[in-house]
Amino acid sequence: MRRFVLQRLIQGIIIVAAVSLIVFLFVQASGDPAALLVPEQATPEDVANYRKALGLDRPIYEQYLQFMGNFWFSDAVKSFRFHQPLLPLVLQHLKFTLILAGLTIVASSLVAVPLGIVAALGRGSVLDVGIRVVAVLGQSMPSFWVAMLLMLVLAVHLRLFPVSGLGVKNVVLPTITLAFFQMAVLLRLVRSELLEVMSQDYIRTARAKGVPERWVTIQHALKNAAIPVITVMGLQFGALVQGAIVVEPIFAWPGLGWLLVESIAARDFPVVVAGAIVAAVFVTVVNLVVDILYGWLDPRIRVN
Amino acid sequence: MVNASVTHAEEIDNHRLPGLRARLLGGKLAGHLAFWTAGAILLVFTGLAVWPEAVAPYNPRLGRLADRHKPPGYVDATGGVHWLGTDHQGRDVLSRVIYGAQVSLTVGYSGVIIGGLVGIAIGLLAGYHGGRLDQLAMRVVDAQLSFPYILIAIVWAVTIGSGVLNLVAILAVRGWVEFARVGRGQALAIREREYITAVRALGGGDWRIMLRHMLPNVMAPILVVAGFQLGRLILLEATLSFLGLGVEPRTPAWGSMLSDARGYLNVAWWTATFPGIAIALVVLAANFMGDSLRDRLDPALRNNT
Repeated sequence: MRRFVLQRLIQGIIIVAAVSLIVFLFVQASGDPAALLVPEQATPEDVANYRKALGLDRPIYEQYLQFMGNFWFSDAVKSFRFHQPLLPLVLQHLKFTLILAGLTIVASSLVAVPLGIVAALGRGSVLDVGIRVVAVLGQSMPSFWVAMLLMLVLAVHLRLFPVSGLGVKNVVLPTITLAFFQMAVLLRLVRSELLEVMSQDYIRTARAKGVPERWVTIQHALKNAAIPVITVMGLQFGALVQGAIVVEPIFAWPGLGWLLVESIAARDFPVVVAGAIVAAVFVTVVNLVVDILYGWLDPRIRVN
Repeated sequence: MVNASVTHAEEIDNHRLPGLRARLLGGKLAGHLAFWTAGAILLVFTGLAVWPEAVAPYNPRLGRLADRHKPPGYVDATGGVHWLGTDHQGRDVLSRVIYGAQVSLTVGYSGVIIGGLVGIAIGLLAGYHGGRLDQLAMRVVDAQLSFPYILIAIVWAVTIGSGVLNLVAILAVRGWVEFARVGRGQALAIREREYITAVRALGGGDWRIMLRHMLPNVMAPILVVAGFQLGRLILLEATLSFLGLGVEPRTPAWGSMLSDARGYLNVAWWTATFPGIAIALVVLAANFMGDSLRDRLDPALRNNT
C-alpha cells in the first residue's frame, strides 16, 4: 500500500510538472509580456530594463525553474493585474470552485442514484427509456448552452435566480448546469453497474435462499454496485473542474475557472500558469485519494 | 421497484420474456431505430456542411440592421421568410445555423481522423512491443485523461492562435488518447494468438504483423471510439468558439452564435436556442452512433469508452 501511494505521488508530481511546463512554454511562445505591460510611450531601453527586472532576458529553463521556485516558496512573482502573490490569489478563488464542485456532486448524486436504480430495476420499461434519454441529453448538450437556457428561463423570464455574481442564490444555476452533465454520467453508470451486479451468481444464491427481493436489491446489489460508482464520482473531478472553467465565467462565479479565463483574456500570464498548476495538483490529489479509498472499500483490489 | 411479493419463478419468466412494449423500446428494434436515425442526422448535417449554399435561403454574413432581432417566421420587406428569425445584425439565423455546420463538422471529422491515425499507431506499437514504450504511452494517456484538457486548449488558442488548422490540432491532441487506449488493449489481446505466431514463424516482420494482421482486427472497436470522439470533439470545438477562440469571427459557427446571443437573452430567445439545438443534435447523433455501433460490433467494450 505504501509503495502504491508513493508511486502515485511521484506520478502526480510528474503530471503537475508536465502541465505547468506545457502551459509555461505556450505562454512564452505567445510573445513578450513586457511589451504589453510597459506604458505606450516607453523607449526600447525602458522595455529592456523592464524585461531584465522581470527576468525575461534569461534562458527559458531558468525562467521556468525560477517561476516554480517563486510560486511555491516566495511572493516574488505577482499577478500583473491584481498585484497579489500568486498562490494566495489562486487559493482564494479555488475556494469558490470547491463550493460549486461539492454542491454539484451532492446534487447530481441525489438525482442520479435513485433514477439509475429505477431504470435498472425496470429495465426496458418506458420509464427506463425515458431516464436514459435524459442521461444521453445531459452528455450531448454543451454546458454553456445549458447555462444559457437556464438563464433564459429561470433568471430572465421567471426571475427566480440572479443571472450572475456571488451569493447564496447565485450558486444555484451554475450548480444545476454542472450537475446536469455529472448526473448523466453517474446515472448511466449506476444503471449499468446495477444490471451487471444483478446478473451475478451471489444474487442468484441470495434469491435461492429466500431473501426478499427488496433486501437482495438493497443489501447485496446496491452495496456492490456502489464501489465503481464511487470511484467514477472521484475520477469525474477532472471533468468537473473542466466544466467549472467553462461555466464559472458565464455566471461570473469567482472560482478558479473564472480567474483562469479572466487572466487569459487579460494576458495576466503568471496567474494562468499558477492556476494551471493548482488545478493539476487539485485533480491529482483527488484522484489519489479516490484510489486509496477504492482499495479500502474493496479489499479485492488491495491484493493486486 | 420490483415488487417483493413477486415469486421468484415469475421473476425468472419476466427476465426471459420481456413484454412487447419492452422489446419495442429497449430491444432490437429500438437499436435499429437509434442506429439509422443517428446515421441519418449525421448524414444530413454532413450534407449541409458540404453544400450549405444549396439549402441556406440567405447569405449568412449579410443582414440589414432594419431586420435585427425579428422572431421566427418574420417576413422582411422583400417578402423573404426568416423561419428561425434574425440575429442582432439582422442576419438570417437558419442560414447561419446551416453554414455553421461547416466549421463544426470539418474540424470535428478532421480531429477524429488525425487523432485516430496517431492514436491507433501509438496504441498498436505500445501494445505490440510492450515494455518501456507501453509504460510511457499509457502514463501519458492516464495523465491526459486525468487533467482538464480544456485549460490547455484555451491557453493554446490564446497564445499560439486559433483558426481552422490550430483548432484541428487542438482537437487531434485531445482525440488520440481513447484511440490509443483501445488500440493498445486490442493489440495486447491479439499478439499472443496462434495466427500471429504463425505469421512470425513464416518470417513476417513486425510491421507486416501490425499493419496486415492486427489493424484489420482492431477496426471494429476503433469505429466505436470514433463515434464517441466525434461527439466529444465537436463539443470541444463549440466550447472554444463560444469562448471566442474558434475560427475568425465573421465565419458563422454555432459556438460563436451562442456567444453573441448571450447579450440579448431577454430580447431574442431564438438566437440562444437554435444553434444549441444544432450542436446537441449532432453530438447526440454521434453518441448514439457510438452506442449502437458498440452494441452491434463489440459489446465487450462497454467499460472502455
